[in-house]
Amino acid sequence: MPGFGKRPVRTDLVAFFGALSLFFATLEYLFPKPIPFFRLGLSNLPLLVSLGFFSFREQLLLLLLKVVGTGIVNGTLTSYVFLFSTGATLASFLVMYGLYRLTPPRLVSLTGISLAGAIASNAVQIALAMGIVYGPASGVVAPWYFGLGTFTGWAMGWGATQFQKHSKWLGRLRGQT
Amino acid sequence: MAKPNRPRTDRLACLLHPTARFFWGLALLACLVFAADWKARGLLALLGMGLALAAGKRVSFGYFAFLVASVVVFNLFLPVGRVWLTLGPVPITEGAFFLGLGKGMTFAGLVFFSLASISRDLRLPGRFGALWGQTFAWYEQLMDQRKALKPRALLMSIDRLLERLYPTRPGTEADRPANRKPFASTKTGFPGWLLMGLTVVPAALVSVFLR
Repeated sequence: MPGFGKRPVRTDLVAFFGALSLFFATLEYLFPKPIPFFRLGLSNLPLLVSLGFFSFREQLLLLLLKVVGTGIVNGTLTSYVFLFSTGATLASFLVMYGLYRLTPPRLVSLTGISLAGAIASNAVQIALAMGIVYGPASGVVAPWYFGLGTFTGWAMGWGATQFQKHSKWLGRLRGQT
Repeated sequence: MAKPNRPRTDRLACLLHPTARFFWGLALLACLVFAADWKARGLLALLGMGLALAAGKRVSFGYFAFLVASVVVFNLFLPVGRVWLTLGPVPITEGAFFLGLGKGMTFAGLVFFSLASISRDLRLPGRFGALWGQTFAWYEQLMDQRKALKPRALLMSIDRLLERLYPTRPGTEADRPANRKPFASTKTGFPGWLLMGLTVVPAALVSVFLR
C-alpha cells in the first residue's frame, strides 16, 4: 500500500489474515464464558502465526482489522467491551511482538510468547475494569482471570506452534515472503 | 457418483450494489446482536436464512440445527437461573438453556447475514476501504466454506481450506481473489431500496420490542 512507508504493505495477505481473525472471532462466540468478558483468544491465532513474516506496519494493520472487525461482527463496537478488547489486544500484541523480535527463539517459544501476550491482555482488562468500568471490586475476579488466561494463552500458543510445524500452506507462504 | 452441485443464482445481485448491500448487512447485523431475547434472535436468524437462500448460498438446515443444539448443550454446563431438572451432577437451568439458544441463533444469524450481504465484488472507497472490502470478501468465503473444517483432521482440513482460498503452490498465485477482475456491478434501484427498507425496519422493530 503506497503512502504507508518504505516497503509496500501486502494488503491482500493482511486482509486474508484479518478475515481469518474475524472467522475465529465468530467461532469463539459459540463458547460459553465462565467469567464476563473472558475470551479464549482464538482470533489472536492469525496475529501469533504471522509474527514471523509480517512487518510491524502490517501487524498493526492486521491488529486494526481484527479489533474493529470483531467489534462489528460481535456487535461490541459501540460498547465498553470494545475498549476492553482494544486495550487488551494492543497490550498483548506489543508484548508478543517485542518478545518475538528481541529474544532468540531458543529462549522463548511461540507458546511462551502467547502466554506472555495473554497475561498482558488480562492485566490490561483487569486494570480497565477496576479503573474505568466497575471499580476496585472487580479485582475479585483477577485470580480467576489470570488462571484461565494462563491456560488459554498456553493452549493458543500450543495450537499456533502445531500449525507452524505441520502447515504446508504456511510453509509455502513463508517461503514466498 | 455424486452429482456436482449446480451453481445457484444470486437474486440479490441484480437489486443491490455490493457497497449498499454490505451496509444493509451491517444494519441487519446490528439488529441481530442488539436483540436481547432469543425469540427475536431466532426470528432474525430466519430472516437471514431467507436472504442467504435468495443470495444463492447453500444452507444446510441439519447443520444449523445441530450447531444450535450443540451450543445449547455446551452452555448447560454453566448453570444460570432456575433449575429445571438435574441430570447426574449437572443441573439443567432455564437461564443457561435460553442463553445457549440465543447464542446459537445469533451465530446462525451472523453466518446467514454475512452470506447474504457480502458480495465478492465488494469494493469500498479509499485505500482502507479497499482493505476492508477484501477482508470482508474473504470472511464471506470462509463462512461459506466453514464445513470444510473437519474436527478429526483439523490441521489438515484448515491447511486445505487456506490453500483453496489463498493459493500458495507455484503457479497458482494468479487465482487469488485480489488478482481477479471485478464484475460490473448493478446500481441499487427502487426495488433494492424497497428490499432494504422492508427488511431493516421490521428487523429493528423485532430487535427493540421483542423482549
